[in-house]
Amino acid sequence: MNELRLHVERIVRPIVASTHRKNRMREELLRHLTTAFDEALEEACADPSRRAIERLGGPAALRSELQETVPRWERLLSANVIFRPLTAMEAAMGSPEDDRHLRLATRAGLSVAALTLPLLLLIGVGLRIHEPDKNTTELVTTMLPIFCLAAAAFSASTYLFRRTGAHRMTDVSCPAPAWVKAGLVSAHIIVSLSLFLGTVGVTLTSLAVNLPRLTGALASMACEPLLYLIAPLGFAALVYAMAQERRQYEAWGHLDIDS
Amino acid sequence: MKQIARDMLRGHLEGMVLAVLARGEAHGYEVLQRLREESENALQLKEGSLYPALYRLEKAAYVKARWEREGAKRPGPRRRLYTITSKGKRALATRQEEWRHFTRVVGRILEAQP
Repeated sequence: MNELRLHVERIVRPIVASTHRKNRMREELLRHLTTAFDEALEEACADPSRRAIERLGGPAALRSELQETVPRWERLLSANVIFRPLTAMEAAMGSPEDDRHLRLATRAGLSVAALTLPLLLLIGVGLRIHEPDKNTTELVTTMLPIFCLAAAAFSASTYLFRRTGAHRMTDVSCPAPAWVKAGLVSAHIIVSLSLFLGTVGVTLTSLAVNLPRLTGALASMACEPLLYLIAPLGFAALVYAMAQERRQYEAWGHLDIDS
Repeated sequence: MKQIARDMLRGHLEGMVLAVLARGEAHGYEVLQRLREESENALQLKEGSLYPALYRLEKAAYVKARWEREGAKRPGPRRRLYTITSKGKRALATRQEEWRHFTRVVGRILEAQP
């Protein structure tokens, strides 16, 4: 049976699609293979698994056909555009396996800082255009220390997450339910990002005091529902998505498709 | 019965699946069995190709799918049942008409006596 699961995983894992869609493909293809397996068994076939797999077809051709059925927007959203650069950057810095908590936390802070710096520069350029009279040195001296503080806050949160051993609970070997693990990781992400965005937000608010009153009012109107309504919803959505991801990983992720 | 090569089936699989589903709701494996039975095992087809065809039909709203009910649950993964929609029935009627026209025209040429 494991052979059948492995064949399904070889087909589905490389497909760029949502976890929901991929799980559906997995379940449907596995169901097909098990039925073909039972049929081969009834016919007293010497190797029913091999027969079922041969009937279904090679992974490469089927994978590319299945990939074409995934909508373009879903491919784009599932391409992991947020975490891929972070992972690539961490990989370039060396393996985090042997790192102590503090070093790993520092690296996390640096990675996020490097990723968000272009955005901050963009905001800075926007402010310069909006308020050409403002002193550039004043902009830099206000923004830079607070940005560094924000990165440090992200590092501190990462450090605490690891120092308290919470990260161990998210491991595949831990028997905790998927939603607990997802909740822990989501809380870590939310707390880290809130600290980070909050600190950057303070910078921007302090710089935006000279903006017209209407703009300020609009910005405040946009921020409040974001904090009180969207943030808990965002957290719930993140926990749900990550729990799905974990369940899928724990059921299929351990299969070595390269063997 | 003489087997039909996979290449000749290209472009017709979706129409055949719609025709099979017009005779009643079915899951993937059952669709294949019906295709096999109705063709008297003449269709040579990699079974996996059926699923992309079903997903394309679902995307086009020609079929709708649902997981089998909990009560019918057997051990192992669930089965997904497919039903043709009214849009799918109209698409099938169009394909049937096109097919009749195609066979009439091509048949007249191929079977013409020298």
